[in-house]
Amino acid sequence: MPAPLKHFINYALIGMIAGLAAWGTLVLSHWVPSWGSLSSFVVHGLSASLGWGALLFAAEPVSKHHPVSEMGFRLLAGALLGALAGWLAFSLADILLAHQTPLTIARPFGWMVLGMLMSGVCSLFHSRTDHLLQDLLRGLLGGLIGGILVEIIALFPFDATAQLVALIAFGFGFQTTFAVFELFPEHAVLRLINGPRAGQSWLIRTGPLHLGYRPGNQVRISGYTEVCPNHAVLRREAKNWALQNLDSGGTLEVNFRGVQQQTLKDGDIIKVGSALLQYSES
Amino acid sequence: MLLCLWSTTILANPALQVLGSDSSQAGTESRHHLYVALPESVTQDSYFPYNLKVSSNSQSLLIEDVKPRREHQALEVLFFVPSAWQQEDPAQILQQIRQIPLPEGTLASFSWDGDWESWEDPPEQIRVRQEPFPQALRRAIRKLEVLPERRRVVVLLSDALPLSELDGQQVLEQVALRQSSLFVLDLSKTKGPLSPAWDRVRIPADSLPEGLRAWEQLLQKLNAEWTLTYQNPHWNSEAVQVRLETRDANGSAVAEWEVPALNSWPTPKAPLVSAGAALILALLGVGGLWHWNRPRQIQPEGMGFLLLNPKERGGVIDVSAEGGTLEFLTKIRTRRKLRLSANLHRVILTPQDGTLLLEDKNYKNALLINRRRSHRRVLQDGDLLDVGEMVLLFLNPKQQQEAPRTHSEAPGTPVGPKDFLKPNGPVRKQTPTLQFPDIRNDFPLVRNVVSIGRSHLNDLRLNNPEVSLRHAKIVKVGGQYKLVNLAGDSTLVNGRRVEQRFLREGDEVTIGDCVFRFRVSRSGSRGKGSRAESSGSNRTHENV
Repeated sequence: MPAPLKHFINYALIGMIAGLAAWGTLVLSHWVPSWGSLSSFVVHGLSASLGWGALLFAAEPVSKHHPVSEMGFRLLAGALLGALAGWLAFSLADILLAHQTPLTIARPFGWMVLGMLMSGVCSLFHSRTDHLLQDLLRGLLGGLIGGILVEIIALFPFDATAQLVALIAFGFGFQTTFAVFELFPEHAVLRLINGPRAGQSWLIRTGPLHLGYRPGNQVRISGYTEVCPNHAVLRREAKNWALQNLDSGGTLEVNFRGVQQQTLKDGDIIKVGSALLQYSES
Repeated sequence: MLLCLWSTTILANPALQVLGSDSSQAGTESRHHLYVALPESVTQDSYFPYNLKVSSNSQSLLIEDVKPRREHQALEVLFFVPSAWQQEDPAQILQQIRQIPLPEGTLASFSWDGDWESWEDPPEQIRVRQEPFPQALRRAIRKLEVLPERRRVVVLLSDALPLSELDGQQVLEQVALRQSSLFVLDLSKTKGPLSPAWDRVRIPADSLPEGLRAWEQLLQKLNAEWTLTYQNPHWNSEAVQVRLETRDANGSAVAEWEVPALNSWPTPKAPLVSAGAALILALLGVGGLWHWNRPRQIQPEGMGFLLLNPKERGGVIDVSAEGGTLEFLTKIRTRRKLRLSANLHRVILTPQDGTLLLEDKNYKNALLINRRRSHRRVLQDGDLLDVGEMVLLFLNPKQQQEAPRTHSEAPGTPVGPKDFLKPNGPVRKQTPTLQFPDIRNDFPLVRNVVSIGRSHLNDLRLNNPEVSLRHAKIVKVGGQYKLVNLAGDSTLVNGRRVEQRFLREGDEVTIGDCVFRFRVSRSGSRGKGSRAESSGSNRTHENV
């Protein structure tokens, strides 16, 4: 299966599963006897974003087949962060409501802020600010499009089943906006060709891309010897991608020649520590 | 859906009067209606912008609509007679129902088997079908047409009705779809087995006079001249006091009204089981997706080549351990025609030490091994072959299994004697360490002289071809540590070649291709005190 298609399917499926989880937590919230002084609007937003955030935050380990423990941690942390972001976002939307804004505007606004917050958090979790602005924008757009989908469904009788459909549609809309954003620039693919994780591929998108075994790296090469925590970085240079060794003492080879910096061309073989990666352009 | 509940009205101005309220909730949205009598000043105005104000807890609420009752709308009351009564004499029942007071001009009909019969002119013979009550009710509701000229209210005479058999939410929605409202009138003291959802709908009255009073209030509400629709996002489980105000030249009028608590309304509450099912399904979905995303690359059982050309499926081409020639590559079917060298039969593979020796006897073949022109090589696992346009990766599972053994010996990996890694007794906190980027354990400098080099005899062994057998040493001189170059010109500190130099906290030492950092204390540069201390000592070094 071509890497971009697989990437897209992953995004869409994660979004839809997140919608399902969001509905689950939303229904659970109905069974909580008291929510104190929180208005029902905020409670709904908060509980839905709890399930949604958990899945969204776990998207990366899921799509890259990271260890289960990491996935579990991400699910829990994501639930917490999602609930927080949901509370914040829908409290803001609630203020709009109090100022006579119709629900059909306030609710997508809440989703928009939530999307922005969550994708910002995901971006910051990589402790890199390279993509922060881009991710914030993506989250904003994704939330807006997902929110509009929800409003369209809410035009029809809006019962629990419709809510489920709406939340799944929201997740789908949000994530596909995300994916389209990634596919839009010309993409290249990095594929691991040896070792335990052979066959894993990464879509190279805009902005610098870090290689290494540390969890914060976009291209995370774990399970290979001689790979440094922060080994190398891929940067866009004019129309090409350039690979640069980060000053970490690890070896970096392009076509089996040690390099410090090298512009990549189609078919190049990159050796990071003991891992072999194939670079191919679309 | 319209539901009916009442509480006392505080009247400040008889002209402004709240006659009733109800709420409809679907999903996260709740809409509230107040049935009001408005002062003439409001009615004469076009009500945009409203000089009406609705507030709750001094927070003003969004008024969506103010609708006058349409004069031509006639009130129609439809009585649904409980199945329990079917056993009795229909005429007697009819007589009983007729006692329910109706305002003048009200249309009425009744049903007990799903067909609506005229109130005024009841059929002689009442057909009684033997079917369960929920089915009859659903059928009766289905038979209602949407008539814009009528305001309909379906009255369930709930006396001993087995309401628990009914999907209340569905019935309410069905009634609402037909622009009608539902009212449950309990005319008896007996309490049937009501489901919790229906208990809320029921009028909080269990005696006939109470029920009738509620009925009268319902009629009053239905006859209200104005319907005011508003949103209250702050509406939660508490009962809310709503304040209706109007201000005009004649002064202001205020009416207050208590909208009953959320618990009074049947919310579309999906069962807890469905939430659990959704969450479990989501987790299963995540697990499935995770599994689907596992790296998939076929590993050959014996030796083989992996076709790496992009857009090719990337299957494994098995190679027999007996060797042979590369001729078989021409027979491989690829999606795109890949050009290959002409003389592949002259490229010979011969078995050697569990792997293959590749020899190119032709010398004219465009054969690259690891992207370099070569004619002879003992193939290793992970070697890359470019045969014409074909890109092949040599895979040898036997060598992969051996890989962990060779790992510690791999170039660039520092290896120290065991006693050095684990010094006898505790290491003092102030003992400086050498920190390697890809190795978790630091090397504490517990000896006064630490030699570094490729040879086994060194305290710190760096296995890298760029490192000399005895490359450098670190000597403790009066509490400071000095790096001394012993061979060659590849001993660097912070990128500068040095012969000897006192090391400072955080210095980056490069020996051959190996890079490590010098740390004064094991807490690294995190401790403020140690940093200050080391920077203080740095100055003295510079003076030296």
